[in-house]
Amino acid sequence: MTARWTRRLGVAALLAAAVAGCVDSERLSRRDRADERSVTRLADPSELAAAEVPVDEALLVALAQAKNFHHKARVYMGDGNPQAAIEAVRQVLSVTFPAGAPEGVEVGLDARALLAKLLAGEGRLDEAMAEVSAGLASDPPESFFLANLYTVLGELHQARAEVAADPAGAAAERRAAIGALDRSIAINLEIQRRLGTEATP
Amino acid sequence: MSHDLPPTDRDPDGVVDPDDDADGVVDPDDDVDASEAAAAARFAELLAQTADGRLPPAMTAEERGLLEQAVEIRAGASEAARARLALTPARGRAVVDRALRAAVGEVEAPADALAARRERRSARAVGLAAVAVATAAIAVLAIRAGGTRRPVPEAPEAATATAPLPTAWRARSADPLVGRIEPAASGEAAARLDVIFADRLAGFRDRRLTPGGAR
Repeated sequence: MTARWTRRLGVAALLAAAVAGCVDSERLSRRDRADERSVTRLADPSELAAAEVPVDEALLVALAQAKNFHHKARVYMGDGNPQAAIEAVRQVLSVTFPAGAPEGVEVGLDARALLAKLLAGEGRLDEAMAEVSAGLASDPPESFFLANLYTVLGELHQARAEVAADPAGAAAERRAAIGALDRSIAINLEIQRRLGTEATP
Repeated sequence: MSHDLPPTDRDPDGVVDPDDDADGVVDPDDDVDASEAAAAARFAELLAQTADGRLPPAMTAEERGLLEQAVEIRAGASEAARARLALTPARGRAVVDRALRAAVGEVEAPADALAARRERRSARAVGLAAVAVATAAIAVLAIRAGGTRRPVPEAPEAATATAPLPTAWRARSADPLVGRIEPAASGEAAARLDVIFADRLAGFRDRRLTPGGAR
């Protein structure tokens, strides 16, 4: 009887070892598969962090669309049709860029600046100011494009000062223009300093 | 031409029985006479002696032939019976041993034997259940021990995910490309966009043409 029980317990131990071995080998194979992934391979675009957007078809298509609207506006301007040019530039703002692509923000700021200048050239200062305000409202990161928008804002305040009905209003517009231009200068200096630091090892 | 047999060879229903012919062979249903009984007893004795290994010093040819046939029939019947019961030689020996013990009065009473068999069967079932439970318990313990023994490191996905793309392959600010925008060139958005597009297109082509760059 004792020998029989010993034999049974031995069989049980063997079965348990086999089951445990299967589980452990599965773990090991999983770890081996993980080790097979090379850390030196280039990241697949799908694995990239959200902050890192690759230059892909979507970005190029968006840039090409914006480019075409700008050229269309230029053709309208050459044809003496500023309203059509304004509408063409407005279409640049409707172009969808890949999420997280800085080019989308900067192209938008540049379009706002051009749109504001075109509207100002037509005497529509309030609409021009509204476009600039809309561009600044999104709190875009500092760039040469943002500095350019502040430059246009300064020009708009200057233009409003020239048409202001009262001297106080004109003075306020001039102060606002100086403030906007100072902001543009500050941003430019900061961007230049930043680029210089990045360029210098 | 008539083939009718005599009336004595006909059954009541008129069908002829060919075995009813008078060929000199004794019918199996006929009574055994004294000489046949004596011959059978003698042959039985002879067969018993043969089984015990005590052959007579002399036999007639007819007796020897009958004896060989009887031995063959007995051996064949024994093999057929064993095969029909699917008995192994060991099992067969055990049956014989049990029969012998019963013959000398050592066998258990039938009721006691049945109870003992049931008891052995229950003990076997309990034993098998215990083995199964022990196997499952040991397996669970082994799996748990394996799970806490060492943490399996996950794939270095973070390393691959954070591997930076080359600058030209990334969407990025166009500041270094366009530089400071002078007030006089404030409205030259189209020209700046041409430069940006050309640069990004070059980066896209480079990424596409580089093995492993774009998929």
